[in-house]
Formats: sequence, structure tokens, C-alpha cells
Amino acid sequence: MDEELVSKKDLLELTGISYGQLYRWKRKNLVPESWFVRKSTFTGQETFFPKEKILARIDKIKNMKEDISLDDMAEVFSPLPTGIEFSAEEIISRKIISEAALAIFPAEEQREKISFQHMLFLFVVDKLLQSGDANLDEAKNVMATLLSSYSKFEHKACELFFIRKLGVAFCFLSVVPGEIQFEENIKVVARIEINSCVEELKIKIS
Amino acid sequence: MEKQYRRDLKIAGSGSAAGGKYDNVLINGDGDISGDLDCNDLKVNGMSEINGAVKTKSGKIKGMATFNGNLKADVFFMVFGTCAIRGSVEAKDMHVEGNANVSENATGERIEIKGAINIKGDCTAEAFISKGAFTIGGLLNADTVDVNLYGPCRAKEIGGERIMVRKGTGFKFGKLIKSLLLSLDLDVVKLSTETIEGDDIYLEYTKAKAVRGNNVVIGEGCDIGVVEYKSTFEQSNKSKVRENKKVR
Repeated sequence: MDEELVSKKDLLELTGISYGQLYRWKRKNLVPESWFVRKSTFTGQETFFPKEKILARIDKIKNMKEDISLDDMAEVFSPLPTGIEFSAEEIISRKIISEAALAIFPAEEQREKISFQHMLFLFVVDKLLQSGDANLDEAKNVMATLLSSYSKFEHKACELFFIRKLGVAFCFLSVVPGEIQFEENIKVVARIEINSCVEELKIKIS
Repeated sequence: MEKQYRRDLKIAGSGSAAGGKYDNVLINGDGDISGDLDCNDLKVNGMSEINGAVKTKSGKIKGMATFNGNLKADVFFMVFGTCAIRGSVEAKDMHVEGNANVSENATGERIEIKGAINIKGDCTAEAFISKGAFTIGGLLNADTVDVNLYGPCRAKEIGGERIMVRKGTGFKFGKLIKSLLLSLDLDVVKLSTETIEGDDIYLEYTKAKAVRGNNVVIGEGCDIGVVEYKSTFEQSNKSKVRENKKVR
């Protein structure tokens, strides 16, 4: 997780935005709370940001704000956009999610339309399947974990870990930023940042 | 969904009720509610403890109320007595003329304090107007921060576009606040914070480690570690600023 960080002061200079703007965007949830990294420096506490992410985000906001309001923009960046629904046929015909992944979606959660959140879960599981990291049974476990636990994080940025020990697969969710150490013979097969999946998925469906 | 008929809930004297969906909820006397409450209007004149999350259009507390859960008010929430919220509060228009305690975050479009408020988490609003005292454990983030100092004010950080801190005049509010905050040191009518960041900043009687902004004016009675400004900087000679830097 060693990303290059940029201090708030440098960020403002680099992008030409003001404190007022930055705080307003934070208020509107255009910049996620988890990007505000506090570190102590010789002048006291200072706030840093992951450089690449914040620059890309500010760029997007600046481009979009000509056309849409800040509140609408919050919806675009929100980890859980409402009002986006697709039918199973649409998902497959538009190649958003593979048929194999859709097949493991538990029958009791099946609806006529699939919500964005469920699409997100399918998307994550599909990634594991497509890369060959998980087999169908393991993917079912991951799906069940996402269905039961993701909502507990309440939109906080989180990461899915898929690990193996002696060939047996485990998965769990963890809030980012956070550090996790494993015992020696555990192999981390995949780490998937859910929020970056959200953005990928949004691009795919739009 | 079928249309639901909502009834009123009235407690006069002493009583208790389960939560649920109601039209108007009126508590005169002592009434506890056990469970989540969803109503159009909530009025407490007396004492009440609500053990659950509350969702209402409007709420008025004249007396004492304890919310053991989150509170959401779509239109307004007013406190004229004492109110403790052991969760977070989200109210479009929040008005505190008495004393309020919030254990988590407070969010609103307009938050106006004429008494005292204590927020353990962050406070987020478009306009934050204080004519009393406040303690905010996290960040105070508002487009306009307008503080008239009548009592000790504290926030970990303050950020926004326009930030104005002035010493209050007159004694009317001072007396009110003194009566509410007997335990605190009352001679310290001051705002203390670690950092203040905004576009246009005017400060009086403020103690801060760092102040950063475009246009910064430091009035009397301030003690500031460092001022970083982009365009203009003014300082009263009755203030102490250890260092000032012009940044690009």
C-alpha cells in the first residue's frame, strides 16, 4: 500500500483549487474520507492524499462541474448509486458479467432486475473466476460473504482478500486503509479493492 | 405500497410506548419510547428517553430528551432544553438554544447554536452559526462558519470557504451560557483549534496552531502559530502571530 502521497498544500497548488472548494467537495462526499491521511510532521498534524487518485478525481470533478450539479456528481462517485438496475439478459448480452458468474448467484436473491450492489458482487466474483483464482464452489463462498457482510461496512472503502492455506480457500473483507499480516504458509491469491471495482463497473455499464 | 394511516401518539403525565409509525408524537410529562420511531412531528415538553432510531420531519425538544440511537429530521430539529443524542444527528435545519450533546457526527444544511453544543465527531453544514459555546471533537466543515464568541469554543479543525470568528457583544447570551456551563472555566471566551483552513478568514480571540487561506485577517486577541496566505494578510497589533508566510 505504498502509494505516493501529496500534502494538502501541494495539492492545492498543483490543481489551483481553494480550501473552500476542497472542503465543499468533501462535504458532498466527492472526495472519500479514507483519502484524508493524517500524518504528523514537524509543523504538527498535516493532511495528505494518495496522489494519483486525488489528482484523477479532482480532474474529473473539474470537468464535470460545468455540466452537472455537485449533488448529482456525488451520485456518480457514490459507492452505491441508486436507480441503476439491469435484467439478467442485459447483463449478459452487454458482457458486463459472464454467464458463469451469474449462475452462482443464489436463487433466493434472484429478482427480475439486478440492483447495482448485486451487480457489483457479481462483478467481483466474475473477476476471481475469470482470472482462474477461484473455482465455482469457492466463488459461491465469496458471493455469500459479500451478500452477508458488505452492507455492514456502510459504504466505507473495503477490500476483498482471497487467500489459500494448504490449498483450502478463505475469503474476508477488510476496511481500507488497514494493514494485514499473514502467517507464513498463507498465499494471498487475490486482493480486490471494492471501490475501484465500483468505478470499473460504472464505466462498463454507462 | 399501500397507503398507511398514521395515528397520533400522545403521552400526558407518565407513560411509555413502543416505537412505530405515527403522525404527530407529543410527550407532555414523562414518556419513554422503546423502539424505532418514524413520525411527522415530534414534540417533547418534559422528559423523554427514546431507545431507538428516530426519523421525523420536524422535532422540538422543550425539556429533556435522550435519544439512544441516530436521529434524522428532514425539515428541522430544535432544542430549547437539554438533549442528548447517543448516535449521529442529521437535520436540515438544526437549532440549539439550550444544551445538546451528540455522541457521533452532526450533519445539516444550517446549524445554529445559541446555547451550547458538544459534538464528539465531525460537524458538517452549509452554514454553521454559533452565538454560544461549542466543542467539536473532529472537523467543523461548513461553507460559512460564523462564530460569535460567548463562551469557550473548541474544535479540532475548522475548514470552509468563509470563516469568521468575532467576540460576542452584550451580556444576554453570556448569562445564558454561564448558567449552562457552570463547570467550565468561564473567563476563557476564546476559540481554540489546531488548524483553520478557508478562503476568507477573519479571526478574533482565537488560539490556533496554523491558519491557512487566501485572505487572512487576524483581529485582536489571537494567538496563532503560523499563518499561510495566498493573497492578503492583515494583523492587529493586539495579536500574536509567530510566523506568517505567503504561499503561491
